[in-house]
Amino acid sequence: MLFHSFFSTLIGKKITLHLKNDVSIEGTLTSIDQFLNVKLEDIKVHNADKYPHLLFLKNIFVRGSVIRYVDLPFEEVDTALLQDATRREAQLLKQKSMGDPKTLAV
Amino acid sequence: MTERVAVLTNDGRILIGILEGLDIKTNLLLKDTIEKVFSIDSEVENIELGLYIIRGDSITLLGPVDKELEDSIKWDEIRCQPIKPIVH
Repeated sequence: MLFHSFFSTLIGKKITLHLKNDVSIEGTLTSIDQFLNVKLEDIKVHNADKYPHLLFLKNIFVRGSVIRYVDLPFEEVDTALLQDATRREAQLLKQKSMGDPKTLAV
Repeated sequence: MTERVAVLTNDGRILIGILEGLDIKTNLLLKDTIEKVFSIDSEVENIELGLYIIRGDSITLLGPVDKELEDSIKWDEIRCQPIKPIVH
């Protein structure tokens, strides 16, 4: 859920998806769900000479499971905050798995 | 719904059809489906497939076909390799 919340903060920003079929697509993030399925607007396929297949698409939905990497806009990401949040989530999961009564109530 | 959509499948095929239905698993029902076949030594071929159900987990990407963009493309000049299949 952490990364879903994280990506939600990037809605409206330009990102690039690198898919598991070696296609890279740049576009404006409009929506993201719990599976990290993504909706992009005004897309541009990188290396369009090699991949003209998707030229007739403007807005797309991409299944989260086929995404290999996501290029993020550097200035929009607070890396320190994200690192802190991932640590906290890991800690929480650890405590939960050990059955800490304090966290079970959360 | 009842809009023309293009679907890229995990095996790299491109299917275009009228979206008639979908469910929570993004299984799709397409009407009047055609497959666009790209190849390096001949022009883009359209193969008529008719009514098609596509299982959600084999879909890479989909989007509504932009008529303006579609008409602006010189399909008979395009020569390219098909898109590679998804490798997890």
